[in-house]
Amino acid sequence: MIRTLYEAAAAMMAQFARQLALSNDLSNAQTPGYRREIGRVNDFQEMLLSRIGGGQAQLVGPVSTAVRYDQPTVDERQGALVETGRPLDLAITGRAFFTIQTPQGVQYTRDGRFQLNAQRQLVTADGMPVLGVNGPITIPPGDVAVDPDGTVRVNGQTVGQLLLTDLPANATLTPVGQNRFTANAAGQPAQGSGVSQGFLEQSNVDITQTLTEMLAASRSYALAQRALQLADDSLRLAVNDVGRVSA
Amino acid sequence: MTSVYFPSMSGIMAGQQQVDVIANNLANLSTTGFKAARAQLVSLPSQRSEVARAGEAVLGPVDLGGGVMLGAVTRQFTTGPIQVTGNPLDLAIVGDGATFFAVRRRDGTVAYTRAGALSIDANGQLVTADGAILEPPITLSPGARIDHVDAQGRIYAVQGSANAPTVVGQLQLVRFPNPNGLLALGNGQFSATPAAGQPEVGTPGAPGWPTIGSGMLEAANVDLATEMTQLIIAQRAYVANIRALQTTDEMVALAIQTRS
Repeated sequence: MIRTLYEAAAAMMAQFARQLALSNDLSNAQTPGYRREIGRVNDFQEMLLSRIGGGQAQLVGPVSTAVRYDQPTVDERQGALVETGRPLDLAITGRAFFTIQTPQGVQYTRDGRFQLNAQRQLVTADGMPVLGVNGPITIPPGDVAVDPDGTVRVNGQTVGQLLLTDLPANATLTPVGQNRFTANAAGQPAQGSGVSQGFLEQSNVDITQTLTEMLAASRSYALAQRALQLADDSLRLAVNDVGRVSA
Repeated sequence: MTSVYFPSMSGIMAGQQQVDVIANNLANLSTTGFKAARAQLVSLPSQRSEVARAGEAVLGPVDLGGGVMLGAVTRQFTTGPIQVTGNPLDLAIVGDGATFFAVRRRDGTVAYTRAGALSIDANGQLVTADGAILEPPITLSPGARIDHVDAQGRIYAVQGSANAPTVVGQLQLVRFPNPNGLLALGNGQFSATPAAGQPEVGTPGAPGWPTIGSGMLEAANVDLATEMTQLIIAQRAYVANIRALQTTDEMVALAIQTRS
């Protein structure tokens, strides 16, 4: 009986965590290069339930103890590309990431809203250098062209090549803010990805889908809460009324 | 506990700031030399939280996202549409949206602008519409009449009894490595900052520099259709975030009601 209380409470917590993750996705529905998080509500490890009676434990069968909300993973689906016409707005088609140098080490992003800093280096909106194959890229005055393979040319002269990184499929990406990720595995030079100049990749959050999932989360939450209350009522009955001899 | 509302709240605030920026663009639809601004949203780092503790089983911490914030407001330094006025002292910088005239404001500071509606003040100096003096100053002798300004920024005037116009001044242009680092002062003027980098001075029409169009003005580069579309998108996201906030709140309310 007590287990029912814990199970219902765990379900409420899991659905609440899901709601928070969905709220975060929704708040980033307009953040270029944002990747929505896929969270899963999963079972705890099952345990074997046995009945004790007649001096001997008898196996009943496996039972799930509770559910939990797993560490969300990043949805790598491509967001829509929107044309901006700005020469330093870059979008990646494919699964690669731009490689960014930060004081905290190398980070990865799909957000290609780049600009130049005072030293004419290609930097992110918050001033972190965008890494090329040979380190940060310095762009002299002139017309900037970026080829699909990431080669940056100014007035036809090659000044560098963007370092696009493929992260292993099993790598865990951790969002660290500013639309950037850190990865727990080393990246490889990208294969089969291209750069589109004058485009930005929009957030891959679908507002309708997110709101629908939110409805599901809130209903599941309400159901679990109801289960908790019913379990509580039953317990109250068991404690107060069962075995009572007279009124 | 406050943090559970934060992702949605940050989305609502960011939506509001986006609408503010769009409203300002729309208000400047007819401001000469105005450059449209864009609110640049960035995600906030995820926060590590222990989201579930059920009985004996403690769940490992889960990283949940921390919402969104306004990372920067950037300007779109594209050229605006050119409007012909016929006044020789209406000057447009043709060909590059991030090159400026330098002017000295009344408070003595130097500012940079693309609003080239110049006139001659009482001292014979060329000034912008709000009275800022062109830098370096160009002074006309009394009685001189502006004839024309050529694409290289040379100002021709007829002085005294002469019939043929002569060059009385040379316009200069300034540009920055990072125009988005400039600080907007209003009136289409910007001031230099360390983030913008060292100003580079050049002559109109020199290789790599834009030319001067006389008798024309550069209108704001605000596109009404684009702004309205952005406004609708921002409003839609704003409403969705309010909805999410309400849902979260209903869930919190349910949790509170459980023990009653």
